[in-house]
Amino acid sequence: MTAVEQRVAAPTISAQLADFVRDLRYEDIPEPVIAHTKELLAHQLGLALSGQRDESARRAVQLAQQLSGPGGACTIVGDRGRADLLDAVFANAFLLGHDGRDDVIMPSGVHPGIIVEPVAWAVGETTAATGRELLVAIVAGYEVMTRLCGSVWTWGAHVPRRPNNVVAPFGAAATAARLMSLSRAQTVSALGHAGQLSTGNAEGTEQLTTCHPLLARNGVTAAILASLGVPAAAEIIEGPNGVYRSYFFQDAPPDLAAGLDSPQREFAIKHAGLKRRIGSELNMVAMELAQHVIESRGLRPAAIERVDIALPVERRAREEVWEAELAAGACGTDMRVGALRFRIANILADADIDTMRFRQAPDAEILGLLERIQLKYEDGHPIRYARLVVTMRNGHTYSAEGDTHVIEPLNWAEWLSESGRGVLSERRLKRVAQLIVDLEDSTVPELMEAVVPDE
Amino acid sequence: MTVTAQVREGVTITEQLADYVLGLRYEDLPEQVVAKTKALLAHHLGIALRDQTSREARLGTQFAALMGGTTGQHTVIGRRERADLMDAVFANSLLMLQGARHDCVLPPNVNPGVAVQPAAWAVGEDVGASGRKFLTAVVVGYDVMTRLHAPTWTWDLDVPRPAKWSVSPFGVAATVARLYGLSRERTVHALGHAGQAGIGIYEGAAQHWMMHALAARGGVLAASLARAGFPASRTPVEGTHGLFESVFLQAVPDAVMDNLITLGDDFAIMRAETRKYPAGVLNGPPVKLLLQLLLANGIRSEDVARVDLVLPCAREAREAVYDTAEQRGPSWLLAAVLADGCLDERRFDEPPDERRCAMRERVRLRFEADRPLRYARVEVTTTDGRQFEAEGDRVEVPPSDLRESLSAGTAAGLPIDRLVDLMQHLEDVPNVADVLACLRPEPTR
Repeated sequence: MTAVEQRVAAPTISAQLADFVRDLRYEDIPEPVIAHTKELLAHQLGLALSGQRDESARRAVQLAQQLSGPGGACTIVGDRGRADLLDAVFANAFLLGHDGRDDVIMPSGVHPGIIVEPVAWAVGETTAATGRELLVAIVAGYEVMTRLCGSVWTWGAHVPRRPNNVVAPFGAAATAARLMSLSRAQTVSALGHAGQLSTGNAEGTEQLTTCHPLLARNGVTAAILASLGVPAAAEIIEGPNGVYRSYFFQDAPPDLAAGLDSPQREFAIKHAGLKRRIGSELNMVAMELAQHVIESRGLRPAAIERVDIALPVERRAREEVWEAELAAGACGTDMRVGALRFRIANILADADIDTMRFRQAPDAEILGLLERIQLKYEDGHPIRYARLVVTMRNGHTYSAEGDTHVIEPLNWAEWLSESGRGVLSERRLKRVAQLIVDLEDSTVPELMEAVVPDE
Repeated sequence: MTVTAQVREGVTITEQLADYVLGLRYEDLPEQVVAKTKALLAHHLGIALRDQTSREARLGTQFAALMGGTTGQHTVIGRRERADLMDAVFANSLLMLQGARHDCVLPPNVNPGVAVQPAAWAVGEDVGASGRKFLTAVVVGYDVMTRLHAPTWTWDLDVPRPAKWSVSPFGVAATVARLYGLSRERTVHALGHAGQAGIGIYEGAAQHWMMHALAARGGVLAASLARAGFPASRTPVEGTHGLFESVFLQAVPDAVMDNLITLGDDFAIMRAETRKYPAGVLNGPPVKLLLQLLLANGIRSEDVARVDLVLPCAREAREAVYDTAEQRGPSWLLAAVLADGCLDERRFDEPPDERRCAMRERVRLRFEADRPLRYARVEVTTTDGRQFEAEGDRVEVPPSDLRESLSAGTAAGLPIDRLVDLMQHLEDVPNVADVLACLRPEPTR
């Protein structure tokens, strides 16, 4: 068999992913994975509810309703107004991601929840999906996004970019395709269109909150195009001009979708960490180290001469984006949430990791602290690694290092109650929590109905 | 003074573009620019009115119906049903793409009409724009889109990517920002969001026909985000990770900076070409040459043993993708000419029949160095050994008047006289919604 014949004979990566997306059954998913998927669902519905208290997210909701016009088919979480499918996906993704606490899977750094969940809610509502179908579609979407990123560290590519810019539409399309019960050929096409709808680059941080909602929208658009019978490239991932070569500047690993049909497979969603604090997951270790050193030693900011933070060399390109924004005087909240030096300066000033200082423009104290914080990069560390060395004006130094960020377990009921306070009644919040617990026996329209405030 | 020194220091490219977008007045447009703009508008409306059954028309209406139903506020050309803003932009763009006769500016090889115009009609209808405001907004969209594309043949890049759907949202966002009357800051943000809206890769060339429509939606959404107060980068073009570094894989070339200086003097819309044949601007010359050779020499298709099409080397990588993957690649187009004696765009939606496939077997592509991008040479060898040859690089498209362009509206039962009158005097129309009203058939009694 020639190489060309082999290529024709072997199923494409999209076809393998499509088979997985279509064939995955609720019964194939281990109980702990189902439990974690429910936990993520509760976490991200809670985030979306809390987004209703955010001015920027409220504007996104208004825009979605304005674009939709009256009488949309889909729920906007925590809102009595409705929107059309794509606009509801946009609004819910914005609500969910308004403060950057959506989930993330390391080491690739993909953010599946902000993409997959809003798509699953809206498409599941329009197709009246069961709770089981919702769970399966979410698991499939997480898997596709994570698989596609493979082992690529997108910040290290010739043109550095955020991984979601490339893989998010695939996850959205996979979830939508599953909930829309697309055929195999249509699912392959949905992924093919998704590859054409990858979008965004790493320039600027001002529009970070809008980029994920747009990517989620694009993924659903891809699935709709496929549902209308528009075919797309079967080799969109591994083709000579496909996604891997175009965005990652390398050939797609041939085993990208390997093992998806194995009963022993691991599900990527298991590795999705719930972010309990506002900020980039990659910054959490350094932030916790700073908090620990400041708190345990009772250090006052005025006595600190300098802070040196060592990070893995792979993070350089990523941090350069944030540093360029800092240097340019960008003052958006998104920038302040994500820039490591800025967050460390906040912690030094307030001796509190959960300080909300990033909501304000930097004052003289923060600017002064920023000048004393340096980043450097070292080979041979895992991607979450950070080492912090605090040098005091009296010459004393304190250091700490780590590469693990411990995520506290989530109490769903408490979390929903806290995040939905003032948005939904306590009765509704309890119902949402219970519906998620019993999701196997409920439907997406029921769940969506529960997240709408009383009149 | 160097070129870059002439560009205002400390002002980003999008800020300069925003100043142009907001600063251009209708009175600044030379008469011939206004006339050309009206001609291109009529040309694309005419295409949109030709067929409501094509794959493009079906997709647009099905998509709109699925998304927002048929009760939106915006006109879908030639349809009674209305659609939401974004769906109207999508549907109308698709309608204008029918038959591949939409306009092109080459270089740099962008297609502003199918992106800027549907966005302008839908948003113009939304805000009740005057004809003058509308014409000015269309002109700025063409200028922004054309100027942002590097003078680079994207197939020559180390990793080729189609840039046209990355610059397209900028042009659309500029047009929409102008129509919405956004402030300078928000226009800059609209362009910043447009910088995040670029789509498309070269894989899957057969589906590229709808990318313009998707990019147009992205541009409208970019401006809508800015209008809603969402900020965006001021450096989406020249930034370290912006359009140029991430798509063209290079810093902004001097030629692009140079082009900024001529904004307001040299209107890109004047270079927009329409097409005589249902084929891309680059594929027009081979089609014309083959038709001429067959006609002038009385050659019947069954007498043709082979056709050699010689193209510039610069097209080799492109045709490796387009010619094999799409019925509308050059060898397929020549096969269609041989099989049917003409290019019948209605047959493009059908799978190629046996005769067309057999004819394609007789067409060979060759590539020659040192030929300009538009160059084509067609060599026909007949079964009795005769050889005929013709070369060229242009297809002249005779100017058509507005009535001729819009003639398809007659069959659609539209008030064609009023439509032509409004288009002829578009600058005096108080609200372009009046034009759009002429593009919707009357309800059946």
